[in-house]
Amino acid sequence: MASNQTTIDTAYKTMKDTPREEYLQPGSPLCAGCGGEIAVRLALKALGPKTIVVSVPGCFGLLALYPYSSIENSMLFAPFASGPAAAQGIVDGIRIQVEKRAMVDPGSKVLVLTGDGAAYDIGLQATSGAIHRGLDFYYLCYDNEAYGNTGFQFSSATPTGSSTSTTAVTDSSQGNSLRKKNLFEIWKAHNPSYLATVAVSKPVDMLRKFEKASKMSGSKLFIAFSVCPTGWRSEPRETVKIDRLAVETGVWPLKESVNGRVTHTYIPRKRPPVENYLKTQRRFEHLFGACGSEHTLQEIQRDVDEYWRSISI
Amino acid sequence: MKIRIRLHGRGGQGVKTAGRIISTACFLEGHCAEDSPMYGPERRGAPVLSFVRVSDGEPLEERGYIEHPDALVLLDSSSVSRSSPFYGLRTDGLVIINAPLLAPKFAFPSVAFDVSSAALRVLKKDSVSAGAAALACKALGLTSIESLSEAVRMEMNEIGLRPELIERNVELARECFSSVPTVKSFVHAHDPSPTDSNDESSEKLVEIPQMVGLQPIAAIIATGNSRLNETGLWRLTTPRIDYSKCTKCIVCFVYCPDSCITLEPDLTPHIQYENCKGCMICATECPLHAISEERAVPA
Repeated sequence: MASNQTTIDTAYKTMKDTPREEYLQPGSPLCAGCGGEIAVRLALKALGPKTIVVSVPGCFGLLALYPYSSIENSMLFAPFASGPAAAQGIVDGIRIQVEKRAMVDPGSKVLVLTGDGAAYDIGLQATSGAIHRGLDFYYLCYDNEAYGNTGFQFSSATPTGSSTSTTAVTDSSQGNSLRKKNLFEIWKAHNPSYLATVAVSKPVDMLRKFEKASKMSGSKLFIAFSVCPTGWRSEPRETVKIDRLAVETGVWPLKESVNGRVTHTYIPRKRPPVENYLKTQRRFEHLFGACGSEHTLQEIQRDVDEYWRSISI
Repeated sequence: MKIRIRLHGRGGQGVKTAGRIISTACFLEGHCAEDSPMYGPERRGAPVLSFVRVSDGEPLEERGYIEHPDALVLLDSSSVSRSSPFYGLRTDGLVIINAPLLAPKFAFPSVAFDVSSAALRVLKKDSVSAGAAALACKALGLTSIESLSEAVRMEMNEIGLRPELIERNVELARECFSSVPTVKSFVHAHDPSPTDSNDESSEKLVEIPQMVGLQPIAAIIATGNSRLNETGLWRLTTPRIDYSKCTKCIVCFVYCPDSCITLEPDLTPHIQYENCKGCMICATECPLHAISEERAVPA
């Protein structure tokens, strides 16, 4: 599981290679400083104009909010649990039309775009089915670690210690007591052709991963770390900085799985303490100060240390 | 007496919390009170509303949006130039505004105080809910300073603020309370007669306009047309590029969440202000510190 040192055939060598075309237009109703919005913008740049987007309820359902649409691509809005099922319908529909010679193969890509609520909780079953069937599609989960669109209720992607509107900090509770669900391993157990975690503070890494996936067929899945200034109670201006801290402290590992073989695409060698990351967000503020929870802090650090030890880099 | 108050501001400023503080303070004072925020896809920076109804004992049987308020609380003076917050305000209504100076063009009696500057001094951030609520409680003669302070403590505790921040909010509220006069003593007033209001009879609690569609499906046929949605109006701070420092590294372009930075063929960046929400990620990430921050000043 060593870092991939071989030379890669890629169009993206530096940030200056970021495609200039915009498929996400200005004027979306998303919050100022939305990290997930940067992720979807970069993903669409890498996937290009022939991408058909399937959206489900969640913040990014707002990318098409009557009478405006922020996405240049075609977009289908599906029920919460049904993103990958809707993608199957689009893929099959195009295939049948081509078989009937009713249309020339448009060479389109289908991208399911959901938050962590749909990916980790509500749509997990439909995703499981789609990957199992080997559906040729892309899935981008913008993971802001809670149900951000409805007021930041906890999801199974919420990390330990985070306060949310349903895991409030009280005398007897230090926010969320559960661990974040490991969606990477759950998806990986289905043997998708490509699976990766991405972070917007590493845009070249992210663009390369989409580029690599687009040369493969089958299920291509992405989990994007998505700073949510409103829910995380962080400063909108610090979105990319916080994203970078998550990567450097080791909280958010950048990795990919190609046909089941996992490679870490970036190894944070120094790994500063997780406090540096947690202190940027008021959802963790109860962990610090006089009545802070040393125990929870140690637990979070221990989990991160244990992870990096376990991959034996 | 019955008073209907409508609050205007932007997501993140504390419009809902200000409404709650006014309502709770009135309740503690012994009045009947209710409050509700506008429900919808509000986002940080987007225009938002909340509503408060107060009576001195008469049951409050109305619900929903307030179309014809007796008083407006404007948490953000730029809302005056942007939308029409005066819509439906009673002819004798009072405008309570967070602004350094009174805009002279108001056709209504008004009370102004620079809550933002006080908040920046006391709280170190532009968080104006407690201060704006204090202006309303005092200007309308609704509550004592004690009920207000207690309401600030209760509501700020409810949203999980640290004790020292709660006390600083109380300090802000008390400063604002003592800085404005009571303009009308609504507490002893009677219900306004129908002639005092703008078409009271047609008041609808929730207005849902009927739209005629061209197709029987919920479809948006135009793609990528959200440019027409002027999210630039959300901006609280404005990024400005100093081109003498810019090295055309395009970092600002890559990280702009809203595609509001465009590049010339030689990679010179330009900020598109019609839609820039002022998140300031570009200013934070610019390696040369070539992007500065202007506090958006209302027109």
